[in-house]
Amino acid sequence: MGDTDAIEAVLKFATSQPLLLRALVAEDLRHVMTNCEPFLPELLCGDDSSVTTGTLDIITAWQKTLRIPRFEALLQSPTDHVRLRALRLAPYIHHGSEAFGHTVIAALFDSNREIRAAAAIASGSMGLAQSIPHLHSLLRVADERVSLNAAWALSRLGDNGMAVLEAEVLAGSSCAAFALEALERAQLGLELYDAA
Amino acid sequence: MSSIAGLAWFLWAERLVIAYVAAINTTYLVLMLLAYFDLRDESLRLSPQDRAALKHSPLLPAISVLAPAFNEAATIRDSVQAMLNLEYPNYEVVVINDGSRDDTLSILIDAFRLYKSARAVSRNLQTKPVNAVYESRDPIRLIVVDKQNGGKADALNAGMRVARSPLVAITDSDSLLETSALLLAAKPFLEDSTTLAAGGIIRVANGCDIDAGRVVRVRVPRSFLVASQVIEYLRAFLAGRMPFSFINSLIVISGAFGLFQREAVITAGGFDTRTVGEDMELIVRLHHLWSRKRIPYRIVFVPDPVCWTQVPERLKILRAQRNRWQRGAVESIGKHAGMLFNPHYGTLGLFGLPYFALLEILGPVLELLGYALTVIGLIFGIVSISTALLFFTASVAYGVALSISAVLLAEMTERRYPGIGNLFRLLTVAVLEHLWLHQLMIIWRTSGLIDGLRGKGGWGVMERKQFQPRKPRRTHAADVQY
Repeated sequence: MGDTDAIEAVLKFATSQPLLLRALVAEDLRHVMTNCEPFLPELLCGDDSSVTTGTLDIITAWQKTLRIPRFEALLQSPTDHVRLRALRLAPYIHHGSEAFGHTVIAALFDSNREIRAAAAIASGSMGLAQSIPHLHSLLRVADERVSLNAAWALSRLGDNGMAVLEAEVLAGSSCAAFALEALERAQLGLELYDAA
Repeated sequence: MSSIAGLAWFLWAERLVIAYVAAINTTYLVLMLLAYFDLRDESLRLSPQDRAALKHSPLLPAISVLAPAFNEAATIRDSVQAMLNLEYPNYEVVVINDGSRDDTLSILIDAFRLYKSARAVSRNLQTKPVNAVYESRDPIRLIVVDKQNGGKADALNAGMRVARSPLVAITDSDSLLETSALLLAAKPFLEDSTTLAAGGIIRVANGCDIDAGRVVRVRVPRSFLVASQVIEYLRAFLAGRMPFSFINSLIVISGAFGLFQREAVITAGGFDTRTVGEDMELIVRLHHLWSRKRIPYRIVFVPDPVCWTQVPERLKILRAQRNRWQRGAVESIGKHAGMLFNPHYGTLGLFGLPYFALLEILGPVLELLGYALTVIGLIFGIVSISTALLFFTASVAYGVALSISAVLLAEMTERRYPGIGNLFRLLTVAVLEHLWLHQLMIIWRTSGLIDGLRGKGGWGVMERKQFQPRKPRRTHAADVQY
């Protein structure tokens, strides 16, 4: 019981601290992460968005598939930092529901470019084939980061995604360089650099 | 009557210079003591346990290490191998071959099994044309950008066009980063998201034993000229970096090792290719832009990430280097002169920049003037022996005291030069340095100031710095070397 209290106290303290401390605490708690799970919903759904983002960071550090109830609410949070982190974590969350995928795809239209870029990565990682037309639109935008991530996501979405990239390369469009890079990386089985 | 007025002016000028030298040296000493107390503050450091925990953390932002290379065939393989073995969870090495005319590129292609990659080159900065981008077939994160020669700043900008990480580390392909350097330099970015740039300490590699791109044994160099630069670097980092970092007025992060927010550098327009002091100019520009927009930011010095670098071993090369540094400082301050004594820029405008302008730029001129006045005064019998001695005491003895303090404070904080022999040698050099080399330096720096004011460009005569026995090398007259 005492240990559980201590874990809860450490977790709560760390969530409101700078990234350095969050990273250190995440590593300390890694071996007791299952003991931490009961406290996560409360920390994630509180009113303080900095605690929510801190908690999402700690979960991201663990890189472990977790079941987190009402995760879609975080993907639709009014706070940019929360949406961004939730999207980075989305591929690790047990979802299964179609609504979850739709929420990720909706983030492709977010007003924040970082969130659009993260949503592209999430769509590719989660294999959301219905995102292909939207990713194709993002591939053609002027924002290099968003375009690059959209190209990578398309390369992860099977033949239909690859066909979009090949068409852009053949057309020699402005995004052809990103499309070609994504095709080459997929062919070589390489991951995207800095997918965050 | 006019000769009496002239005499009075002479004596007044002489005393002004003495007071100036004493005031500057006292400030220097106080700053160094402040730095010593900062260095003893353990909260500024990462413990070995913290480092062990962080080196696998997925939360740490990715880093692209940019290493421009120009005719580095002799050392490039070892240097890159060392860069690929740093302790950091998520980083890539981007070597920029800046139009080398030797075998730098082919050595990299063979040693690291490079293939011509389709990696896209961003249009976010203007640079000389990029010929090709290479990546490794091996599971290592190495990218080589082959481009037309354009100088170090242009090469760094080309690296920025290929880098994708949120943080970029700037280094030289002939400098050696300690394995923990990235982790330690990233600390301020993890503590405070407003951090734009962080610099580490640069130490002198000459004389040390190097194995496979690592410093395995630290020794004071045999050459007096090189050993004096060891002390000079210690003094500069203790008194010139630490205290200014605490008041967010740091204006120098060495081009040998610095860590930057990539977006910030791109927003600022990248490295200025028209200056020889591109590292300092970028820092001053970041201060300028962020202060003007009133966006909170920090530019910090971190005392423990260490980068080892080769320093000049010949007077001619040292003179060219100091001339270039001084021109770079003049250009950087001149370009942002509107910040000087401007309260809008806070402590930087009111203290940091004026201090740098008076100490680093005007200081050598005034000191040289003091020597000249003393000698002329002695010849014409205007200055008494006691006044002359007072001047020499103020400049030489004070300088010696500063150097000895720098050595002792640095070694008391972190023992780097083991054995009493090394310490004795450093202290001896600390005394001798002020009897002739310091005087040469003020002449070179004054000359650099004049060249800077006249707008003289170019990097001057440079020598490739090597950790291994030198091999013959050819350069092209039109190449921009660094």
